[in-house]
Amino acid sequence: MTGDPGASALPRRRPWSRWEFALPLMALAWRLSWYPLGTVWRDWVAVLALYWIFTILAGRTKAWPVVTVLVALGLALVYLHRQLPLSLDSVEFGIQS
Amino acid sequence: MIAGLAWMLVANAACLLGAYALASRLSTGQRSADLALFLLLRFSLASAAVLATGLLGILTARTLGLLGAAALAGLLLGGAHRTIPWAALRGLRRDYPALLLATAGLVLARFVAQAWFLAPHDGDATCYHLPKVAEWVQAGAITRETGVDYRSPFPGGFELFEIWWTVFLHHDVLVEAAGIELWILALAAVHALGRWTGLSRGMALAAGLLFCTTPIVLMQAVSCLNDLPVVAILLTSAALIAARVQPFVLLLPLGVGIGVKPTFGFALPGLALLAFLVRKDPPASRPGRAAAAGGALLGAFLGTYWYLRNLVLYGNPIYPGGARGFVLNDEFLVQQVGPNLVSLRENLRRLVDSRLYDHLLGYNPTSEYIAGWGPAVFGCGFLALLVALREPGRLRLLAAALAVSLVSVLTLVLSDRWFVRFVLFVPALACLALPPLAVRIRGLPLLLGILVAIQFATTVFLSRNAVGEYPALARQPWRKRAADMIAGLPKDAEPVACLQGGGLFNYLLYGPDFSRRVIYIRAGKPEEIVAEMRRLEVKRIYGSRDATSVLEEMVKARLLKPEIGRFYSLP
Repeated sequence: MTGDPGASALPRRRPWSRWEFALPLMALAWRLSWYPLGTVWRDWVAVLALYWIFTILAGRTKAWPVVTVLVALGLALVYLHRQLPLSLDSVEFGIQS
Repeated sequence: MIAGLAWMLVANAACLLGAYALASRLSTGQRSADLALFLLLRFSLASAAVLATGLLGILTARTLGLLGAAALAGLLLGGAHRTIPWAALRGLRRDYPALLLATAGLVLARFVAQAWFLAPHDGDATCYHLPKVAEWVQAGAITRETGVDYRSPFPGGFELFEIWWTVFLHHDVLVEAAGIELWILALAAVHALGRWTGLSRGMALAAGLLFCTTPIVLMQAVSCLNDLPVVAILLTSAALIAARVQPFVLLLPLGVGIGVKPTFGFALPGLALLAFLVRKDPPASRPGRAAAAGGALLGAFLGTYWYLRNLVLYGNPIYPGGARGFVLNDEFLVQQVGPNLVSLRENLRRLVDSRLYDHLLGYNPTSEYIAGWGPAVFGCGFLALLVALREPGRLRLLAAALAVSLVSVLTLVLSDRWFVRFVLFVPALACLALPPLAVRIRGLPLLLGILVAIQFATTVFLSRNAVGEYPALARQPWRKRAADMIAGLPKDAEPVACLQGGGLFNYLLYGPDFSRRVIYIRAGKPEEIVAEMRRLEVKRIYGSRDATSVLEEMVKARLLKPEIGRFYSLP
């Protein structure tokens, strides 16, 4: 993992084991049993479990880097959607006082 | 003031050169690990100088300055300065991307401004960390007095370093510099771990900066709290273990860490696992026996003092903890002692389901109801860690070790509002995984940059409660700069009594130049309180909200008359 900028963006090709597949599936099942289906899209564990499955199945495709950025963006938005108002509220509080 | 400044410069020069000389003798042979070791030694030597002079009752700017001058002369005569690698410093621009160096410079510039324009105001710092600093700087000695907060007997390893930054000027204007130095240590430690996991220098620095710009780290650095120091020393320990230093040398970080906060010890099972996993790697170069013994003794001195002190003073090394845990007023469990699987389950559940989203409360340095790991770790870091851990490599070993530390700490701490600050080392893993992914995927560096910028911008104000204070703080002349959180604080330096419990901001009673004597009254009954005030010849008393009923009772009995805020005086 030297991070050579010239290296392929894609994870190395390797046969996936059933154990690796089982882990995200178990995580997903756990989160689905915990959260209603309508809200699971904003659960980071469920999102990462789905991303993990996608990486196992399609890690060597051209879609993988694009999906990676989109997932990262999505998770960041999930976070900022609820956190940023709190930070902005603090700034506003400071200006008002 | 000028003399104090001169002593401060001399003592710091001696401490830095002494740390360098010792680090050269303890060298791991790996530059990045050696840098972290040097910074740790600098922290340890300064702390040990404060502790030793404090125990001897000669803790003054002049004593430390003279000792520093003598040590500096000896080091210079011994030629310690001749091997300083100035070329490596000059080569920074060659080895590291300018953008990363500029980011580090920007954060440091912000810290300098915060250290100068802000004054301590975090509740934990002002109720039980900094009163020790004020008491001991005032007394010129490490005395028994630590204040009346129930947590004041906790180990004060970081407070020693805060004294180092306050004793010379006899003022707290630079007290935040202590935390900023530990921020630099955390950066160096993550950088060293990055190099060990195979990252290039630039990527290792990027990983360090990603960790050091997480909201909680940015806020802790200038809040006079000791959780960032703990994580900085923990990650340094991990870097030294990974570098395969001699076990004897490890006593230094382990001792120093345990002397800062017991939660450091809670994470040790993970470090033990790391030592086991890397046992077959080639060992670091063997240090000189005297240097190794010196480092180990330094660690033992700084680590054991607090526990021996509590054993002598209270008959219990972990006082106020006991068999039932740390119980306040015989009913409120403040902290558990020993492992508890229910705590582990609750802590994990809260961390995963709630704290990581940082949605319950704004960013604050004590991690109250939040994790404070920020959008970069949440959005990109975990994902990068997942990708990195699918590949074999040293990051897996570190991840296994820190996972054990995580479970160990979460098993040993109560699931309270603030527990996440005890596992602040976890986001370092995600930050180590990020740079290799970011350079491979177009768009990810831009996203990361935006998220880090948001983190930087949203952590300028250290806590919501204090935001209103900022302009007022900045406008004050630096000599008088203090958070205005105690209404009715006398303008003169007349001594005040402080009733047991202390309150959230009792450190502010001392004044920024420690000019006011604070006399703690531990009596509980009205007549005893008055008698104690008369005996100690103090007219005015301050009581926290907890003491309201006693004080009001005393007012009704005409033993005291009310003044402004929570001040009362003898009639």
